[in-house]
Amino acid sequence: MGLSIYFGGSDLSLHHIYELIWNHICGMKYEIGTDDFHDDYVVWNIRMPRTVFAVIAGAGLAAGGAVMQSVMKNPLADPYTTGISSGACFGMALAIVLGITVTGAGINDMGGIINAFIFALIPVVIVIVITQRSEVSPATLILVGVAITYIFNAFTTILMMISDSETLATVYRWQIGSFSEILWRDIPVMAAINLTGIFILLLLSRKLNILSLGDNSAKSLGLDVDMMRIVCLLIISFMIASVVCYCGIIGFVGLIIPHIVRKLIQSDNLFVIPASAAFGAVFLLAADTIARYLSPLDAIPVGVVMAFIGSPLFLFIIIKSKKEVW
Amino acid sequence: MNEEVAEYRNKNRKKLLWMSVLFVAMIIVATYSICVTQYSISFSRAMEIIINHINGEEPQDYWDRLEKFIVIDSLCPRAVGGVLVGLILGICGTLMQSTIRNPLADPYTTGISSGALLGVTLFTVFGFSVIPSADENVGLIVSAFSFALIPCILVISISSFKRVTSTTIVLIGIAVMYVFNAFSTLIRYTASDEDVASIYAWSVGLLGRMNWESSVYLFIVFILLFVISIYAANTLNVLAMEDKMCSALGVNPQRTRLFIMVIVAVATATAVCFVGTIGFIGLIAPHIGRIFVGSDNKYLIPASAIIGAFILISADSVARIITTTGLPVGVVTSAIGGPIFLIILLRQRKSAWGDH
Repeated sequence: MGLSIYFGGSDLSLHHIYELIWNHICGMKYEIGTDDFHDDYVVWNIRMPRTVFAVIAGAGLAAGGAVMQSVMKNPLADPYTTGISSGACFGMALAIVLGITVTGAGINDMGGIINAFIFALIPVVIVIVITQRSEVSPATLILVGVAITYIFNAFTTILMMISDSETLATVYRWQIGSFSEILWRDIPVMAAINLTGIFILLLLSRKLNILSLGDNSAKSLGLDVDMMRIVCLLIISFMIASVVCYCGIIGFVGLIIPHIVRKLIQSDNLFVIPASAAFGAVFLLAADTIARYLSPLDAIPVGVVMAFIGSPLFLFIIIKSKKEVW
Repeated sequence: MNEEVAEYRNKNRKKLLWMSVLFVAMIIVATYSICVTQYSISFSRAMEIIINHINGEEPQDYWDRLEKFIVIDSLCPRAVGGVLVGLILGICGTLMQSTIRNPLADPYTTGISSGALLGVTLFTVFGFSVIPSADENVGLIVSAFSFALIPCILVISISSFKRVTSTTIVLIGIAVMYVFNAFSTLIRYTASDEDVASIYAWSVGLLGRMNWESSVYLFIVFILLFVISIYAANTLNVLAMEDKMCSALGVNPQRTRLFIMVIVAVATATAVCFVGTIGFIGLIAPHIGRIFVGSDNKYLIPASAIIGAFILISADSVARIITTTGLPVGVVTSAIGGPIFLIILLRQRKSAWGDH
């Protein structure tokens, strides 16, 4: 976290930054116009929110991915591959470009998030319906998600074409996923949703362990399997929607992190969920820091870095998982 | 016996009839697409200009010359190029679906298009070319082709060394696509604004940049592809059976597959060079074609070529009608193709394609 605040457009020493943060917390004010005021502004208002956001988003996405993988018993599932992220992105684009919100509330209030949430639900519903109606292989399910992503992306692009250039830049940034425009005011809602979400998922983790025994065993142990799935997916889509609203689609965090965590600490959800959250936070922050290190002026968004790391691993998991029993 | 022969001939005649109906429909749409534009040029006026051009009459007036320029140098190559690309993609899709026995295969879903796109991107941004050649277009095609081969080889080797389901193959193709797209996006950030604009156009698929010169390349590739695939049609029919049966009938399945995939890679790379990645044409066209003419490759290949051209040129016209600035045709095809892909995906377990 410290390092990520350190890297950035203007040159500040690590020591100086901590001094600034500490002073800010202590309530010290600098005179307007001095160097210290400028540095304080950069650190506190630009870099800090970005770092905090990356940490929470990483935790939310990774925990969401871990739960999705165990709920759907699918090693390839994550919010990105199942199309939830792109649904949320489309909902948000709809709110911004056409000003259409489902609730009628303004974009700056909860309207945008609720819109993203509603559209994130569409892929979730499709996925649930498909898994219940027919026996599909995990690969097929992911392909369904990919197809949904295509459809949503096509519509988002259509929206982009009819919007003005300023909106276009915003929507484009979302499609790639970037932290460059995160401010303090973006954080409270998103943090509240994600932290509550992770907390609820933690409470459910024992039940998730039961679910991994198979549907029949879980039912005989007194667990309402379908209800459990729906509740989990609802929580996850709400978390994802809140993240996507502010920083756009960041893929593969939810896919890779749980796999690495499971390699390290086995697959007890009680530990996998918090470990994924923690590791996801560190990972996403590192990815963002790398992006900023490579291009100090925010040329490379974090989504590209994630795609770079994530997609080869995705390929690896697909090829490798054929050897194991799905 | 004679009755059966008569019935068989009758069926074939019906197939030919369907094909000519489709062909006529395709030509009509393609001709009509010439007058779909933001400029107010009526259909009869456009035809008049073309006929005058063929007769060698030069327009005198400034407006006439402008109109002639728009019709002859922008709209006509766009229509011709669109038809050619549609034909090529339709054939490629059929070839892929028949060779790897996968109803979900097409150059786009198996990652061949995105491989070619990476080649194009590298060539445009860094001037990186596999063979240092004098002609820019040839260099572009070769570069696109070499990168298009990577997913081809991957798909062939995985499907021959491991027992994988058809969905897994496509999933691998999509993962490959993610990898390539990550590279392409990264390169985009190091490129100049001008390059970025052209790469973006490539990545969404745009017919607007067609000119007569690129139509010539596409035409050559189309003729080669068509001749080879019709020549190979019977072999492809044999390939629909199990590999052991193929060998028994004197067809080497692996070698045929490799050969066909290389051909597909060449054709796709050429198409991508000029219009970018246009998805789903190669996926949908053979499926619609099978409805009309059945799955005999001799008839299916030309039929799905025609259907591919029909879909692409109508999608392009629709795109131009919806927005005046011109929606990229790739967006329209994926808006139509995405749901169809989904339907094929979910239906295939019930059909005879034999997953598992």
